[in-house]
Amino acid sequence: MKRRGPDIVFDVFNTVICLAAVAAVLYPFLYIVSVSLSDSVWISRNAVTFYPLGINLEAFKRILAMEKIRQSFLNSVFYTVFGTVLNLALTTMLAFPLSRKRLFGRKFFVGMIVIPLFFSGGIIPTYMVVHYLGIKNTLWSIVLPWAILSYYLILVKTFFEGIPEEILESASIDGSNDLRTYLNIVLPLSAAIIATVGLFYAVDNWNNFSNALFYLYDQRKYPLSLVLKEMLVTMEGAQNTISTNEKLVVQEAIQSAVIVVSVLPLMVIYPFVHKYFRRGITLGALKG
Amino acid sequence: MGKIIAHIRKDRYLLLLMIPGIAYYAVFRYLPMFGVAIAFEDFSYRKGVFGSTFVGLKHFLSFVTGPNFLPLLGNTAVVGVLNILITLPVSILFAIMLSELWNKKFGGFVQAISLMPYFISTVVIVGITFMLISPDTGIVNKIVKSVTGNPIIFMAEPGWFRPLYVITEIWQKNGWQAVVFTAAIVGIDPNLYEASAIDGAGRLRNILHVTLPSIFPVIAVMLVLRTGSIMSLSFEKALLLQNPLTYSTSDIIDTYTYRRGLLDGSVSFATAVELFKGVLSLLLVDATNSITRRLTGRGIW
Repeated sequence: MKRRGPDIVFDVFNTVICLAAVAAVLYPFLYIVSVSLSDSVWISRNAVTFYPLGINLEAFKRILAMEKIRQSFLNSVFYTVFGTVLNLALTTMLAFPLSRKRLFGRKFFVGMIVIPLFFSGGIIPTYMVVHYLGIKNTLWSIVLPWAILSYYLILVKTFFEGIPEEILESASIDGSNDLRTYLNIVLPLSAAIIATVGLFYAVDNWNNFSNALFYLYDQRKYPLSLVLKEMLVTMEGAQNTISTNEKLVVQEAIQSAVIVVSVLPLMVIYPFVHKYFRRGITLGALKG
Repeated sequence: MGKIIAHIRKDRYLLLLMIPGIAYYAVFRYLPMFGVAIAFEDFSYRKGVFGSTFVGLKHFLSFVTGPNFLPLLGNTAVVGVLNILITLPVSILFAIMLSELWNKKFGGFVQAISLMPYFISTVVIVGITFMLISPDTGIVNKIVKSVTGNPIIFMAEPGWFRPLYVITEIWQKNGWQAVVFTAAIVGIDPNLYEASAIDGAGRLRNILHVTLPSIFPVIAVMLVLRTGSIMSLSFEKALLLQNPLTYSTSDIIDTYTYRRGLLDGSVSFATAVELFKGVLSLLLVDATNSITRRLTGRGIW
């Protein structure tokens, strides 16, 4: 296609807009990092814009000294790892049988997992269930309520459906039963989808604070996301403080430092795993 | 009968594998659905679900005739509709622009960056927003102050809740939404573009007459899905952005339910409100689906 005058104008315009979009998305993060590394004197004068002024690590020293931050970070790591493993186990175990057309009662079971996409019991009834199960304020109240997300389940099921029936049949001819086939053949073949869905679950687990908000009353069990909520939104624990060497550390510095700490794990792995995310969204979209 | 048993036996391992998953759905998704029974009672923890007095539609009526009904419904609807009206076209436009970029690597880069905020927790998004709009130290007010001399206290003014909600939604979700449309655009038959070029169409014409119509089914499906979730606006985002000063615009059905139900303890009332919302939501999805299907021949069902 020949590139004509109007085309070039269009291209320039397009490129400028896209660059502006990139800047708009990135600037808030840049600002936060700058504030977290700045001397509080400059922050209170509202002078920090694109880069840190009077670089110091006081804010970070201050928050790392907080028991609350260290404990909740570890809690979040634990909830995320444990939760994601549980998510993947339950999801794949349910998705595989559903992907086999010969399954007894298949239509019924598929319907059963689709309905919750549109209708759910609600916050209070779910709370009741958790309450009557006696698992409030425990690990289970964090990982069980959303142990399987129908959306991700369907993604995995679709993937499994793509595995040629011949492979599974030849396995059963060789004497393998469904369980063995699932463990030895299906799972290894599904590394890609497990990685993708696992990442989605992991991000959800790391960020979620609703379960903790509803069901936990022991502060020492709080995940980082809930501690963040308190510090950023209700401003607890983030007031101006004087650190040990008598440098003033402003509330904003503390808050930005906490944000940086909580976002860092994701930022670090993002470039490596971003293609899995994109693949997952595309898969979901095409299925939809 | 014998055939059924034989079928079950043949699939016994598959069925066994399914047990944990089915148990999960039964306990945490379907059991709560029955829990909506407490919306029809004056529930008390002591008496339990079966012992509490049945009161029929009392809670529904008191909600619908109460002072909060119209404002809550209004807020939820306005924010929901505004959200879709603005974010959907923005992501469509964005997806189109991305796919029109001359340098594909640059396009991939832009898309990767735009996708990033989706994975940041809402708490962080709101936290960053608060810092940016802070009256004393925020950069937004720095600019405002240099123009008008006075800062705008965004968080205290009801009028700013909706813009803040929508802008943060765009920041957070635009990249994700755009990937869906990009995937659809990539799937368009190149022959359509060649045919259009032969007819002498320029870039803009191409976009209007080839790209947009081709992805229309995807847009329709997205619209229906998003409309269904109008009622279930991000509870977390609204909860974080709101405070008692801005309830007149920021209180939505879900946050009200949380406050009255879990914090105040009026569980029956709150459940009634939520059930009401759920039914309304279903009706909305069905209506949107029917309309879309009638207009375009495509819908979800």
